[in-house]
Amino acid sequence: MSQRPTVARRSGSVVLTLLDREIQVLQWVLSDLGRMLTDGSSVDEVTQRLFPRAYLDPTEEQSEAEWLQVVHNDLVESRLAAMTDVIRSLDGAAAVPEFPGAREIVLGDDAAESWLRVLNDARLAVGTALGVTAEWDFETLDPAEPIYEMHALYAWMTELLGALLAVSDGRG
Amino acid sequence: MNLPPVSVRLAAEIGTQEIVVPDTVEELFGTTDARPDVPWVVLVWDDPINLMDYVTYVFQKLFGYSKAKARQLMLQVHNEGKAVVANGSRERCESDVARLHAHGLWATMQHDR
Repeated sequence: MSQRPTVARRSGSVVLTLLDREIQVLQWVLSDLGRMLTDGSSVDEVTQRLFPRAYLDPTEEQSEAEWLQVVHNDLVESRLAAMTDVIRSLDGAAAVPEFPGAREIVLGDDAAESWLRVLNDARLAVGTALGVTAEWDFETLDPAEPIYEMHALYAWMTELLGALLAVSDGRG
Repeated sequence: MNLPPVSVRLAAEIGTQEIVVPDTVEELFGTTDARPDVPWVVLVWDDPINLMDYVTYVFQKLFGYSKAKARQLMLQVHNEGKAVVANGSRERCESDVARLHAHGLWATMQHDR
């Protein structure tokens, strides 16, 4: 039996089927991401990737500061709101009688949109921490590599996001 | 505290289709300013993490582009390293940059010269 995450459209909703342990891993990833988003103190590479500058021009420092003051809290809040949607849908995952060990998550359009954004944020965080480049290819990685599991997590989130995008049309 | 109009707009816009409410009569009926605050562009930069389909999806959702147009812009970002995705006043571009950041895209703004 295939154990890959499956995503399908069913009467207007997006239906995700995930293994119980995949749900647990996602919950763990999200709690970590949520902690990072609310901890305003860190200025590491991951935070810089999630909250880039608006102005590259160093002579626009004042505009950058003013822009940041206006938008930063909204950017954090909107990310946390999307994350709350995803956590809520994970909590509502229902057992699938014909597939023991898996659960089904039914998403309306808004929730499906939140999933896209949150999975992408999680990939940005993990991918930036791993130093993923354009040449990154999970298939070529040595399983003996110390953080191979994190690469596997990144590859899995990439596959899941790709599957969700395949059933979304971007018109909301 | 009275927030500047841009913050009100941004709160309404982040993650949603843009809603522009004119602040002044000039803005409603067309500006009479002889020196319009226009020459700004929003750039999206290529990065190794965002998926091509995701970038296309965000362009469609935020700017209302057709799938073909959004995909063409995404390919320009991918092949040339960056692309101009929007232009307008400083305020408008600041708002677009914030919406793109809210969706994880690497966007910046600069004078159009």
